[in-house]
Amino acid sequence: MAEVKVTDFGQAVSVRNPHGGIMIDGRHVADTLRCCHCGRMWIPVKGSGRKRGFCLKCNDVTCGPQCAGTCLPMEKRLGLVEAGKLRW
Amino acid sequence: MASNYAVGITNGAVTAAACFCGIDQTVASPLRRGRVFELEFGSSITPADNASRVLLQRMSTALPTGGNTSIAGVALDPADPASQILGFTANTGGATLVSTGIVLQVGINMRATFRWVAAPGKEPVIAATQYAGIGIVVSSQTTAYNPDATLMWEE
Repeated sequence: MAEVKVTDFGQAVSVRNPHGGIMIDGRHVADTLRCCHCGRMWIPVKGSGRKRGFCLKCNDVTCGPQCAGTCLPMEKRLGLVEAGKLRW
Repeated sequence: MASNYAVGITNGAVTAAACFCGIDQTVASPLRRGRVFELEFGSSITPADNASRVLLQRMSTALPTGGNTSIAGVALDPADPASQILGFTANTGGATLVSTGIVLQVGINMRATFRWVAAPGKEPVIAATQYAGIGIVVSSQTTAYNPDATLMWEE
C-alpha cells in the first residue's frame, strides 16, 4: 500500500492577510499563502524550517529560494504563457 | 462581470497519474482565464481510516481522456452564460500533469471533509491558452476508495 501521511494542521499558524483558508469538517484549521511569482500555495507551519521569501517589487510572499531571484510576477508569467513564450 | 461555475464528482474512480476532478481550456483561442476559488474533497462511502494524497496540479498539452470529459460547468448564477472552460472528472489519461505546477498538496483522511477557499484575487489562475488546465489529482491512497470532489471556478 502507498505511504500517505495525513497533513497535520495542528502546527499551522494564522497570518494577518491569508490568501486562502482550509476547513476540515466545516472548521477552519489553517490559512494558505500563494507565491506571487509561480502561484504555488502552502500552509504556513510553525517551525517547519522551510525557507520562504518576500519580493519587494511585488510586495508579496514567494514560495522559496527558487522564486526569490528574478521578479516574474504572476500576471507577467500568464502573459508569457499566453503568448507562447513560456511553458508553465 | 465574472461568472462562477462548478463541477463535481461522487464516488469517482481514481487513477493516480490522471486528473480526478479538473477544468481545462478546450477551445483553440480562449478569451477568458479561469480562477479556481474553491475545492472540496471527501468521501460518502462507509468511513474508515484511509488516506489520500491530494494535489491541485496544472495540466497542459492535451485534454484529459477517459472518465467524464468536457462537462459544462454548472453556473452558480443561473443567468450566467455557458462556461467556456469545461470540466473533466475521473479521467484515466490524456493531459500532461505539469510536475512543476503542483499548486497545493495535502494528505486527507477519508473520514474528513476537506475544503479550501481562496481569498478574492489570490486564486490559482489558468492561462487563456488551449489545454491550459488545473485539477485535483489523487496521487496515492493507503487503500483504494472512490472519493467525492467539487471544484469551483470563475471566468
